[in-house]
Formats: sequence, C-alpha cells, structure tokens
Amino acid sequence: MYNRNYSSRRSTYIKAIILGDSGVGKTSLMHQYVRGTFSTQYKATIGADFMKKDVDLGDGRIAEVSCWDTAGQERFQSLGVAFYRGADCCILCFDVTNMRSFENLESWRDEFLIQVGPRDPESFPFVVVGNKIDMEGKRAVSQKRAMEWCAAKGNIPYFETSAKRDINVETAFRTVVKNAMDQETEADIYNDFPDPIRIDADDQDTQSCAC
Amino acid sequence: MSDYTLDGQEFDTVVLGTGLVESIVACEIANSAAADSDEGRKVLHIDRNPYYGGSFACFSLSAFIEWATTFRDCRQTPFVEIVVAGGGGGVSGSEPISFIINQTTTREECDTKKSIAAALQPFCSGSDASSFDMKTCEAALSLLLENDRKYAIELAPKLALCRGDMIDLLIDLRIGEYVQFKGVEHSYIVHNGKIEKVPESKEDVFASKTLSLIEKRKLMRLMTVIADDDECQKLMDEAAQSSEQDFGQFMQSKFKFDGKLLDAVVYSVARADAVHRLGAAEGCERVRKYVRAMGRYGRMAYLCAMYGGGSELAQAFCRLCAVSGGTYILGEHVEISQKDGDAGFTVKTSEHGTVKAKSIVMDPVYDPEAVFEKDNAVSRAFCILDRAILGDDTTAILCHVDGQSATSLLYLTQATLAVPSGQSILYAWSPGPLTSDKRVQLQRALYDVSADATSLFTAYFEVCDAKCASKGYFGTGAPDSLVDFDSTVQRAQHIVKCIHQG
Repeated sequence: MYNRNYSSRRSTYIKAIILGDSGVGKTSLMHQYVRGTFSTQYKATIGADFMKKDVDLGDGRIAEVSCWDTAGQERFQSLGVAFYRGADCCILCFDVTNMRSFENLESWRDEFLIQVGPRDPESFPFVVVGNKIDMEGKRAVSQKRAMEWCAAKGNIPYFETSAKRDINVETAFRTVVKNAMDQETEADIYNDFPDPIRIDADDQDTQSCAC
Repeated sequence: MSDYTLDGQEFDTVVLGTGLVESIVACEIANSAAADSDEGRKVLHIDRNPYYGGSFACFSLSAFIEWATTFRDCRQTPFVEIVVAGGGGGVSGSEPISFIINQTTTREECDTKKSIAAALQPFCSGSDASSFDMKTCEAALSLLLENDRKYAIELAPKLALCRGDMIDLLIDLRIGEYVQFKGVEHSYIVHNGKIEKVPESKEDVFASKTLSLIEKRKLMRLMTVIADDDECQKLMDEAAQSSEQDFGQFMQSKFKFDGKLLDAVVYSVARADAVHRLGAAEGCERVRKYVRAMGRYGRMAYLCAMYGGGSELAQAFCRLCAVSGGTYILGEHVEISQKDGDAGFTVKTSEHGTVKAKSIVMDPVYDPEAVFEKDNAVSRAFCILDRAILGDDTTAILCHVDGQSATSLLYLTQATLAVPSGQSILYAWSPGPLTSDKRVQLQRALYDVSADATSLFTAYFEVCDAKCASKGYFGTGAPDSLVDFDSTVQRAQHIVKCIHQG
C-alpha cells in the first residue's frame, strides 16, 4: 500500500487478491466489479491478469484498487508466493452450490495467512463471498453455516453474491477495500521506506531520480 | 481440488523446472502463441519441488535448510556447509556449530527449531560431532527462526541492468507491475581488507577524495568516450582489433589506468572474475552497457528485485504464461519416454496422468542421465549478519580483489525485504568448483566486508552446470556467475528461437 498525491486528494494503492477453488466465479466477480460485465461462457481463467478500478469512498478518500486473479494457477495448488506479495486485502470465494468449495475456504485462508504473514491475522481485511445465488435451487451451503464460519474466524464480513445478476458484488468489494483503507494509517507508521521502483512501459526514460 | 487430470492431453511444449530460464521460455512460447490466435501453443510447466525458482529459488531460513537437507540435487550440489553462530548471535557466547550436509534425506517437516536441529544433527561436523548438543543447537537456531519468514535467501542472486535485457523483456511483455525493484545505490571495491566506494557518476568522480587529479581526468576521459556514440564505436572497433590483449591490458594501454583505478574499471564496472579471460572487446561492451544503464531509473546502473530477484522474476513469467493459458503443477515428478519413429514424447506425471508433448524443455537436473560439469561450477556463499554494516535501508554491489582472485559480493537489507530490520545478508560468489582454496577466497571476501559484525548463519556450496544426455531435449543449465540477468535472458531467448525453428 502506498500513497499517490493527486492535487489535494489522496489516492491510496490497494492490492486485492481473489482466492477460492477453480470454478467458483473469481474471474466473473472481478469482471462484474471492475467492468460491470458478465459472460456465460465458462473458460478456466485464461487471459485474466489483474484489473484496476478507482474507488471513491465518499469520505475524501480514494482507493486505487488493483484486483489480482489466480490466473488458473490454483487448479493444481501451484500459486507461488510472489502472487501474495504486498496484498492489502483478500476476497475469499466459494460457490453456494458446491459444498467442497466452501469447505476449502479454511485452507485458502490458512495459505493466505502463511504466505502474507500479516502482523495481526485476526484483524486482516478479509471478506467472504458466497457466489452463484442465482442458482438458489441448487444451493448446498446455507447462509447460516457460512455466517457461522465467518463469525468464528474473527467476524469476517460475509456476502452472498451473483456475479451473473450483479447482486452484492459492489458491496462486497467496497467493504473489503474500505477495511483495508482503515488499516492504512496504522501500516503507514511502520512503513517509512521509499517506494519501490516500478517498471512501467509508459514512463520509461522520463522517470526522475527515484532513489 | 486434485480431481483434475491431464490424462490424454496433448501439449506443444512441456517445460520441466521453474528456474528463470525455463520460466522465460514457457512464458514466451505461451505468450507469443496467445497473441497470434485463441488456440495458441499449449504449455505444461512442471516443477518436481513444491516451490518455484529451481536453482534460482529464494527461501526463508528454514526452507533453505530444507533445501540443503531434502530438495537439493546431490549431483549438482554435492554438499552444503552451514555454520550456525552459538547462541544465535553470541548471546550465550558458545562456539559456532558447523554442519556438512553431503547427502539428502527424505522430506520431514522443517518448521520448528526442534525439527530443524534434528534434521541437521546427522551432518554435524568437526570436533562438534561427538559432543553435539541438541539444546545448544536449538538455542542457536531460535533467534534466527523467530523471524524465519523475513529472510529471503537466494540460491543465485543476480541484478537487473536498468537498461538491460531483463527490464526490456518485462516492459515488452507488460509485466513490469508484477515485480518491484529497488536501486542498487552503492558499489564498493575491497582491497587488502579496505572497503572503498567506486565512483558511479561524473559527480562522484569530481567529489571523490580517494582519486588523484590525474586519475579523475583519466576516468572522465573513459566516461566521455563511452557516452559519445561515435567515439564509443571507435573504441569498440579498436578493442575488437586488439584480440591479443585482455580488457585490463587494453584499458592500461589506451587510458593509462593502473593500480586501484584499473581494478575498479576491470572488476567493479566490467565485472571481470579473474577466472575467465575477459577480452578487450567484451570488456568494453560491458562498460558501455553499465554506463548506458545509469540514469534510467536514477543514477544507479543496477536494480535489485524485492524479496529475492530470480525467483520473483521466474514467478512473474510463470504467471504471464498461466494468464496465456499455460498449465502449472508444482511438486510433481515425471518420466519421459519416446517411441522409435515417433516425433513427440510421452510424459507420465506422478499424480495427473500421462500426456503427449511435441517438445521438451528442461533444467538438466530433470534428466536422470544428465552430464554434470564439475569444472564448470559456481562456488557460492552467504552470511546473515547481526548488523546492517553498510546501512540499514540500502543495497550494494561489491567486488573483493585479492592478488589473483576476484569475488563478487552483494549486500542486501530490509530495503529489498531480504532480512529482518537491523540485519543484513552478504552473498559472495566466484566461478569454479568449491575447493579448499576457493572456500578460503569466499570466506576472506565475506570476512573483509563484515569484520565488525557477527555472522549468525553462514553457508557455502557449489552449483555445477549440467547438460542433458539426450539431444532431443532443450536443456537450460545452472545460473552463471555474471552479476546481471542479461546472459540468462539471452539463453532463454536462444532456446525459444530453436523451438520455433522446430
């Protein structure tokens, strides 16, 4: 997380990563949130990289959110540690019609905490998303059960969503981004290093001394 | 989650090993294909270990010990010597404990000081062996392991030239955002145990208190020639004609450099290693690249990737490969067979079925019959220091010159998140097998730079280069001893070219 100054308004960079089993709708959620689109064609994630969106929290704070998808590397549990670097918040996803995807939330959360190693795991900004509520008839995980799990893990906010019908997607992402921003001031006290150098195609050779 | 099977699938290329070269190859093949059409070339990328990076891997402290005791390929790295400071930093004042890990054991969890001490015990060496005390060893490890995951220990540290092939490739592929860098702010040369700053810019040359006026003028002349395209070309042409001279002799005759100034140009800028002969033309080309690199992202010539360069970069390329449709499996073993008269290969994976592949790219350690080139090895060492001897928020590249030997050193701190705050890590490496002389050379280089600090954890090992026995595979090889990534990128791009040509 680092700050960028745009005149008087402060914009904070937030890295959000989306975790969960293959097929629960991670890419669809991301597309719905960032672009407001949904495709019925399922394709195991190819071509999804990361997407950016500026979020105005309405209280003078602006978040420059970049959402990172698993790029299909989760299929054989082969997400490398580099994927998790510098994550400010995490969206844990499951499919309400797939019990196994809910049961695996525990290991996704554990893996995230091991790889990221936040100072205070209990208060790290997670959000749990139960996706595909448009398929209510096939529901296998009750809302009650999901909420109990979230409560037991330090009161993680829980949202039931449909990426297809655009239900609750915006609210879920906004909540986790706001919670990440609320932790920002505290994190800033500890992080007084100069920002790393970013290799952007746009501003090569024009960058001033960054050291 | 492991229900997925690949059985019966056909891939264009199966890549074995996730070292930097293999990862760039996998990425370039998948990415170039994806750009051409929807149904591009299919890549299956496998690593037999549960981590990315291969011989460029980056580890927490406990994971490094696990690499030494379990994952290391004994043909490539016959032994690892580890020295743990007594009492984890001289707290209790006990003697350091040394281990020579000369074989690997089956995998056991190495995640507590107790389990690590138990894993190390059989390898305790020297006079400690008979009197090995588990409690002392655990105590020695405990301070280090408190911050276990704050260590990013690299098997083969390298830097990116600001205007080099690695940065160009990241920009080309638009994945600059995957990896964060810090500038390598300082360059030092160590003579007779004395550390001196190498001037890195015209301003530095003017401000230098160690250079005489005449030396300043000589150095300025070189920099002016290199900075001017025509003059530089003339110099390169002249160097190309002086094939009987090595780079040092050429600099001596052309610019009248001598003594420390000559060493700074030959070792700190052109990064000669005193093992391989550095020709005049090659040396001039390296100086040109170095000078060209300065000023792009600040005044320094090199960038250092945060969290451990080669491994982070390998993962960036793997991610882009996955984004372009590549399939990834870690911790998977394979057997390859080829039927007579059949163009392709059959790859049997340990957990996910049997697939077909048109071509195979591999780190030669995956070939059971690989030929290991003992003489073509790189000796490597590092020590974790209890103090940030050269500054707490900085990165430095050093060169230790000692008679006929030269050792490259890299100093990293919390600036690149390589160690916990207040500590530092110093890497030293030199081409050639780890003989007792070579070990002394590395030890002296580490010691001369870190004399004021206590080494909490030191390791020495060699990594041999290897070639595949079968000509049917595209073999990569072990990381070389050069400081920058350019040769690594070029190696990968050469393989990609060969594959595209069939």
